[in-house]
Amino acid sequence: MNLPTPEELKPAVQLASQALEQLDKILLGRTDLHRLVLVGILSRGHILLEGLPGVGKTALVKALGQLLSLEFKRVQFTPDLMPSDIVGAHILQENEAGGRDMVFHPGPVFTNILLADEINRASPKTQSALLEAMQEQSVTLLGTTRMLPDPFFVLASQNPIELEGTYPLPEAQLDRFLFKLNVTNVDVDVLDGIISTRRRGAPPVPSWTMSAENLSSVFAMLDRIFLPKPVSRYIARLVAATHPLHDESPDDIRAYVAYGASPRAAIAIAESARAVALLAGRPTVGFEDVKMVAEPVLNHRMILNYKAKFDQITTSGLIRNLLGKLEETGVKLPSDVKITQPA
Amino acid sequence: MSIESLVKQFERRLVLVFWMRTAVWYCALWSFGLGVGVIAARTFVGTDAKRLAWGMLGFLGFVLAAWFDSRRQIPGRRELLAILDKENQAGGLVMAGESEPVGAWNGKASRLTLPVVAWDGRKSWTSLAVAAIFLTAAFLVPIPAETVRANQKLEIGKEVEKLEQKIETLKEEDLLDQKKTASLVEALQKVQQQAEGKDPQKSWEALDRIQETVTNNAKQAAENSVAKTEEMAKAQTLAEGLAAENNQLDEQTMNEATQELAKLAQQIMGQSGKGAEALNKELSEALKEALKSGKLSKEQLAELAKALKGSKQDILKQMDKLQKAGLIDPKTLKQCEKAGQCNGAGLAAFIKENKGSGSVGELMDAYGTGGTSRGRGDAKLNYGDASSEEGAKFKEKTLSSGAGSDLKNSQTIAVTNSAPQIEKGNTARPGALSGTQAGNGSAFQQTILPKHRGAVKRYFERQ
Repeated sequence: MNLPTPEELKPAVQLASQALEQLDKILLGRTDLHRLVLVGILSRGHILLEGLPGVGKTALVKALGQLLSLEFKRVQFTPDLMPSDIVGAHILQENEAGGRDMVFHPGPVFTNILLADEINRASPKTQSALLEAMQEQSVTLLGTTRMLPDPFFVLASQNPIELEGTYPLPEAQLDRFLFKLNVTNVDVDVLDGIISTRRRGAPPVPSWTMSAENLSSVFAMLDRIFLPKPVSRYIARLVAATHPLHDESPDDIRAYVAYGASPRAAIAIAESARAVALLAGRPTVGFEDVKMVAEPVLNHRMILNYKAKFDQITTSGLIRNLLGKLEETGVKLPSDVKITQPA
Repeated sequence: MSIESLVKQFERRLVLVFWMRTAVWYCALWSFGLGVGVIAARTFVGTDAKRLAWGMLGFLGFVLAAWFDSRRQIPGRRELLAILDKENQAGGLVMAGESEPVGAWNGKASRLTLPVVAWDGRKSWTSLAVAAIFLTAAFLVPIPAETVRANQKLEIGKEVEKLEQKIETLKEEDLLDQKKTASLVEALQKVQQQAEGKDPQKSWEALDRIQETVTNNAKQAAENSVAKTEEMAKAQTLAEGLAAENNQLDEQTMNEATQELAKLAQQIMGQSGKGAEALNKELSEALKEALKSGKLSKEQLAELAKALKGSKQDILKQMDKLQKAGLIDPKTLKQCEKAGQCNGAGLAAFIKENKGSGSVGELMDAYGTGGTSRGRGDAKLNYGDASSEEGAKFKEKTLSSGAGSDLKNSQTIAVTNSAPQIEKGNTARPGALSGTQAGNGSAFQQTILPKHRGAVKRYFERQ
């Protein structure tokens, strides 16, 4: 496989950059979050957004739906939500001949972008209805498997507070999300900008949208982004080091992590690092691309023990420490020898 | 700069830094090791520091070994590319170049810069400096001779060899019987085997005892030889005098002198050794006859004189050999030579001149001591009570042959402030209290240490 030439890469890069630019225009002050969301979308992954009420999670997903010119549906997850409310149900319907048939009525999951708002408010039974859809991109009901439209993204949001009456997502469900992104509060300048430029906070309509064809061409170009062997090795070592019993694990991971990340995490890092490289206009993935996506990929996949909760240790802190300690190239130089860039 | 040349340059930098780093560590380790070895060798084996300095050549070997080790430490090409990519933040372009044609992206790769390989060598250099100081100290620090000797076998090979030669000389000259020779050689070998540095006095004393035995034997032999030579010279002188054509002795004196000569010759024959071998059977028979009749022909007298002269020469040769072997001193040899001097004609004239003043034997004893008319040379020595030799006679003590050179080569290393070691039972007593009895612990005894010497000296100098 030849690397894409700069000319071949340029249109895809422009499309991605334009999409990012539009997102930044619609929602103020969240460039890094927008970049990661776009990376998640380009990697065909599902994204879990976690943040306090009113920080713009839903607005972000809605803006993305508008921007990508894809079919967008929203489900507000509540405790009484049933699986059939998501995947669809067979209902008895009168046919033209006057007879009655069981006709499948597709649920909101049959769309390109599904916004699962406050996903942790639904019961585990309902949450589990999404498992197959997210992994297999299909729905099986009464023995019949129905494919979901391509592309298919689940963009879920959840509230870290008001945990009473919520059902934390099971690990199997969490593992299916490419990224878990924390949506934090914006600073004063951004707030000022929102108040002064948006009437009732309503975001503007995007001036440019990305068509399905454009998105397909970007996906195609993404497949040509080259992942060098040392980088893939680094990803593998990074994921392996999240396990407490691995040789390269730092001491804090040995102390605070009960279970490390799954192989799906390594795949997710590799795919999302490709998207980061594309956004940067490069045909190859570098170590810095991996470092950029490592935290959102790994932070919901590492299960901490009780000691970590007691010591108020977060997965983000552990991952940052791991990234700092693990040598990217795998070359173990003597401690008194350092390689640096010339001043 | 192409990626290829960049990789090569980077590899060279790494090799250089690794080489230097490894060489410094190796040299530091070798310095410590060599230092320990030098101290051990100087202390326990007594090896000369100059010989141990050859160990410095080991540094060359270690620097060479460091080169090979540094080559081994260099990461592979893929890793080098990864490092270059990472340091230049090339986003994988450099790494991709290894397996994929980079093509149009080459221009970006050409803007790469060579990373700096920095080595924080403070720890290594400090270690090397400390090790070098230690090594230098190991070479220069004086090792007390006692420590060296205590840990090694005492080297007495030369002394033993010299003694063996002396014993062999005595054996060759039949001055030592076989049994005694064997016991002396056995004793020597035993001393050599058991000689240890930590107790050298024991070995030296044993060697001294053997040396003393050997020397005493040689001295005894030398004294016998001198006495025998004197006897022979006397007999030879008389035989030469009697054999002389122009001697004017009357028949009675001649017979008397011949009988004296035969008596002397019989005495010499009665002794074992070289003198006894000198006379053949025929001559021995003639001497037996002459003892009764007092008759010996001129030829027989000449033959006797010749035989005695020959055996005297043999004794002198033996003495010379003993002197060369260091068994007797040159003075004894000279004494022996002097004892062998003869003047036959003079003796004959002296006997004729002093006929009637004594027997031939008495005249022979008086000859050469000044004569009967000049002073009291001929006077008989009358001995009274023997005088005591106590306090007048030196007890001779033979030092080992190596003792002289040992003293010459010895040097003062330090003067200790501690009290000298005194053997038990031989405690020195303060001069003022010398010979007094310590009564109920009331006598105060103070040991004078070397450091007190100055004060004591000043005390006695004040006036």
